[in-house]
Amino acid sequence: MSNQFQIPEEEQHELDLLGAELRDAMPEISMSADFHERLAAQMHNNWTLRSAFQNNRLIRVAAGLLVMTLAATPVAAWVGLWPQQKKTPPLIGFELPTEIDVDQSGGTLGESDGNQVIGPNDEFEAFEWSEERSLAVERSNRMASAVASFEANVQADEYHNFHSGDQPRSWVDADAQGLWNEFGRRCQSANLAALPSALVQRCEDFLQAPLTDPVDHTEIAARAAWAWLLHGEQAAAGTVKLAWPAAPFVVQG
Amino acid sequence: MSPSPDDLLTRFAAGDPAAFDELVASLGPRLKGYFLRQGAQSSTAEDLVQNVFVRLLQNATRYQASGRLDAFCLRIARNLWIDHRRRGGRVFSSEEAFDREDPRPGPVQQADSGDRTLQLRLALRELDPDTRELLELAVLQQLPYREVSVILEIPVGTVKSRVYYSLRKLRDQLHNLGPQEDLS
Repeated sequence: MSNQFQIPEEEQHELDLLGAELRDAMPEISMSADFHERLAAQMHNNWTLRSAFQNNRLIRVAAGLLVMTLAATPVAAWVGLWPQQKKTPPLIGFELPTEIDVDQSGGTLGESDGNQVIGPNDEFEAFEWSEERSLAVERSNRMASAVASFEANVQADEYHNFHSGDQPRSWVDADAQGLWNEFGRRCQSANLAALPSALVQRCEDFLQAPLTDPVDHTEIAARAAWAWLLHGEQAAAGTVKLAWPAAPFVVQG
Repeated sequence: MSPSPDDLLTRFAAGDPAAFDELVASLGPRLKGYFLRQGAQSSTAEDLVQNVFVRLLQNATRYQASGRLDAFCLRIARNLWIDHRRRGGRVFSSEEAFDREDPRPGPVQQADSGDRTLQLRLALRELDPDTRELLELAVLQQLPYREVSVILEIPVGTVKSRVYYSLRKLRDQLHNLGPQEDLS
């Protein structure tokens, strides 16, 4: 480290003496006679903006105000000269219609029976009730029940197990598998629309025809489902196998 | 006991104009000697000394006595001298400078006669400018090494070692110039 530089003591003493001797060897310096006068004159004339800023607070404040004024002038001019948009004074009040059309024909009001009361029975009377409409509502309710049960209990992959085959081109030719598929499709797609008459007719024929295969689960399930949907008939209890868990109708196994 | 330059400037800043005159009388010759030994003309040296005091005066109100004022003035003097040389101000050779300080016969001539004082001046003159400036601040102006390191912008340890080697070099030159003398 340079700070740790050490000089031998004897040599240090010798060099100190040499330094003192060197100082003594320098000639005495004196200032010229008019030095103080010239210095005073220079100091008096040496007013500089920098020194004034450094020494005088008022000058600093004044200079600051001057700068702010100079900067604000063009801004104020620009703001003043900026073309201002003409503002139309807003209308206060409202306008009265110039003409009021008054029917002066003097027409008469229709006569009315002020004592007539319209009750709920009158409303029902307007509704045309029929056996066919009642049957359709019941079928629709049962279909809604089947859809709700299907959505709650059947997964898509499970449905695939008992749903195979395409929709038949004509319901007349639909077999047990096709009818069962149709029932499943309606449950899956929540199709509560009215049943086509051709489908209803095919299902009725299918239900009246004897059971072709007593061990065919698809045919049994299709019969149970459509019998329940069209007529509300539950299959007889006994050896029962559900079309799917918690199905609203019973499938006789 | 004469007041220190720091006290004088503090008094002047407090509103005592006579303190500045005392300050000029105290530091003026030292500063002039610095400029002369650096190679300035006598009139130029006094002009530069005036500039040092003007700068000191401009900063007097903000002065805080936290360092040595003579070191501060010498720092200003050094900067002014560098500016003067950059502007092309005339610089005398060290021989001319020493001759102008003393009207007596030249050092070369008097060294031959064994004048110890002139031998010392001649030996100092023969040093290179950097070494001469170092001895000027550390030995002739007697500034502490720490102040010298601030002015010359070199580490304190470097100042100490350079002063040591510079004095040894000066001693060797003295031995070469004249008869051996016992300095101890």
